[in-house]
Amino acid sequence: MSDDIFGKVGNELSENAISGMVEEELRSHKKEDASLPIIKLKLAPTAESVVDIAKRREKREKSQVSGFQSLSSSNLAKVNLVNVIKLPDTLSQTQKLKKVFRYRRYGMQMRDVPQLRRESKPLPERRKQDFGKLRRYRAQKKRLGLGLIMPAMIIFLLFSWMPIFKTFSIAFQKFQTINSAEYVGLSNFLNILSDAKFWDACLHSGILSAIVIVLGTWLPLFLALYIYEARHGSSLMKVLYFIPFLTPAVPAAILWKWMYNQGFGVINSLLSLFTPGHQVAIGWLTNPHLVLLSIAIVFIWKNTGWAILIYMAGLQNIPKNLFEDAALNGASVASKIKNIILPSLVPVIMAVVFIQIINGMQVFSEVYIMTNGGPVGSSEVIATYMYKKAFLYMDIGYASGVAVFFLFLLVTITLFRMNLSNARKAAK
Amino acid sequence: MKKTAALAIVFAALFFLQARAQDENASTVLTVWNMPSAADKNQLDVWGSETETFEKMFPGVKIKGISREYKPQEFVSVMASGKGPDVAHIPITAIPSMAKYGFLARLNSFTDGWDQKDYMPAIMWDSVKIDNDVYGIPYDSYFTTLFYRKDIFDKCGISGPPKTWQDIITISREISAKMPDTWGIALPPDMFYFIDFIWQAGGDVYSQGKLNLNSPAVITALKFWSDLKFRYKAMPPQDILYESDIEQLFSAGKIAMMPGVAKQLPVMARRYGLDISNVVIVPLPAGDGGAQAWHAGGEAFVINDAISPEKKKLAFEYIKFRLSPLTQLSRFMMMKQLGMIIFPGDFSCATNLINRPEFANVKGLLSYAHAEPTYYKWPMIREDFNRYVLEKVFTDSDVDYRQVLYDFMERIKKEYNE
Repeated sequence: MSDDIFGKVGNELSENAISGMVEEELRSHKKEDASLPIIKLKLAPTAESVVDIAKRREKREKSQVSGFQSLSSSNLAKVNLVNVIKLPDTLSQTQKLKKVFRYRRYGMQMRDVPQLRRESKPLPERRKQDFGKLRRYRAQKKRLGLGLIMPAMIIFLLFSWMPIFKTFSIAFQKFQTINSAEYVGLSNFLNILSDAKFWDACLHSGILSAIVIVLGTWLPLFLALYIYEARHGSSLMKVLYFIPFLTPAVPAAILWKWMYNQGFGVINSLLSLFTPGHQVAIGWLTNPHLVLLSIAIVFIWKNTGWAILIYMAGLQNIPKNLFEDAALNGASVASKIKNIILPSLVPVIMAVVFIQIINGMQVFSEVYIMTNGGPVGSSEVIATYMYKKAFLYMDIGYASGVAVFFLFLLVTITLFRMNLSNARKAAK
Repeated sequence: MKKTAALAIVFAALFFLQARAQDENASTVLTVWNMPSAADKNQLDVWGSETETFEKMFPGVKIKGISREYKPQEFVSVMASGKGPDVAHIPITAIPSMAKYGFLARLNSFTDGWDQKDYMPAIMWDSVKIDNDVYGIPYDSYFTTLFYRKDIFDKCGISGPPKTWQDIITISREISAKMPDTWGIALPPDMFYFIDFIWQAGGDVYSQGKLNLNSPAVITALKFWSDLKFRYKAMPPQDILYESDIEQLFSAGKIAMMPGVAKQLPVMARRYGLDISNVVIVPLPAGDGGAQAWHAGGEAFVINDAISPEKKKLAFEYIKFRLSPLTQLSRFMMMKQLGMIIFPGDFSCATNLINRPEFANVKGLLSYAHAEPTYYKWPMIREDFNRYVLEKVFTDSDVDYRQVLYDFMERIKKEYNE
């Protein structure tokens, strides 16, 4: 029913035609007042001088024909064509309707409404003697910006970039004692290439990231969709999902370690409720095949909150009229997700995927506290391996080499992501 | 206005720096990393009182105490930055690697003429010596022992602690039969405890400068641990129980016996509500061949190699003071006065209090004590052994011990040129 109106709105519509259609629409959508754009029309008072609804209603009553019926495409011509609005074809249906009703309200184009037109004043005359002042002002403005940014810049360079440069220089050294480093060229990097433990750690980091991508990308998306569509309590849900993100990693890992405990952990106890007479004793952190999944779950639990927020921001940027048009066309939820949400959210999903990959590769606290790389080395990831090489094996040069290698890996992923998004923009 | 404010800030900064410099000149500040944490209020009081006495004895010296548990990354970072403490307390097992990297001062010149030296057990000195160079002064000593829950033993009608490996099996069976939810013993996959079983089986891990980790003694000990878990069901069914899990289960009365060092008990009481009066400390049982063995560990005072010779001298005076019989005796008295539980681990291993009843449990333990190798790669090898041997044995009931040990030795050869 409601999509008929869009079928009938052409480039030329008379006021009578519009008001008839509007009234019919209002009657048919009395209960669906939340999302239909047509409802906005209710709020717009009609200018008496332009459209006399009462008179037209009288006319319609006389003719005993409803406005909608009388305005079927075949008899549009019969209606009084005094106020005809010309609408360009390039406008969407919603934009056309908006224009139509603005015209109805003011009786003219928006730009011609006198009270909305701003009086233009002439620009002040440029005097030669003011140029010096202007230059000084500009210079001051520049210096101010520099002065304001400097403290933060110094701290940033000191605590972010200096350690990076230092790590680069240490990566080419071997320490016999802390004060006698010897330059070894690329030897640390060559050793990394033949270090089976390092590649095992890389594999574990990769598996962890893969689990995080699969679960950590789609779960927050569905939760975000649910929150976006929820009529009640969406703010509370956002807060509840965001709280784990605010929990520091160490207490969170300790908490989960207890929950995962094979003998007396709450997870196995809960599972035991479903198996009467049998105590479930899954080794979440002690089974080499399960341990990475268990760590990934903790990581996802902790990071779902921010991913939901990013998705929510993405969802709010999708033009509402797409949903409105889809609703008017009777699209199902699945169809809306497939045809509107997913295509519109591709850049956001890609951003979340890459951030999750990078975060997943960097995971340290959860592994260090919950398993310390065990059992049998099955949860050793790059970050814990690097830490152990530096502080347990005291091979600081080698550990720095691993750090540099790791940095390049992450930079490559980031560049790949940037290239991908640039290519998408170019394609558009 | 702006200029005045800027000048005021500059003058204030100069005044502050000057005041600080004057303060530092007035007294030498000795930074020590051995202050108890604020959570141990009584211990902190005892430490404060000793520090006060020292400062009175050396009027020009001020002690700046810092409460730090030894964490390798923290210690390495702070020492490498040149801002490390002048004196620190670190585990003796950490001394070889820290000394190798040049953080620790060589102390032979101080210890050679020190009269207290000979009162310390030789095994403790062995732990802080690398090629006859002394890098630490042993402080406390501890021994790995067996804790058992007297209440569980009483309930099951077990008269005394296990004396042999076979007794562990027998007692565990009795406990499981009478208390189905309780297990006899739990062992963590940690070389720290496993090494005692190797010694009890008549072997050693490091001899004549060579690692010896695939000897028959190691296989016997591995087989015994595996049998305890899979064959005799003396241990809880969980794949792996780490030390903290075992402490928790023992405190909750789910495990009747566990290996440990006496110092763990107050921590377990505080963290998990263990009733210490229910716990009895006894020597570890002997191996099948009757060999009794456990290992002696402890902490040692070390001096930062980066400080001036004068400060090093002062730092040694501080260590001497802390280890002097008089300080040890006054510590004992104060702890008694404050109603604190006396643990031998709170006192110097050279203590002359060994005949006090509080020390009865450790008296004589030295006779069978062994020390871990003072080899700088040992902490790394130990970590790898936990990971690739012990965790494997606990997670796989059909493991081939010989193959696992062979693979491990191959790995060690490749990684550490052993």
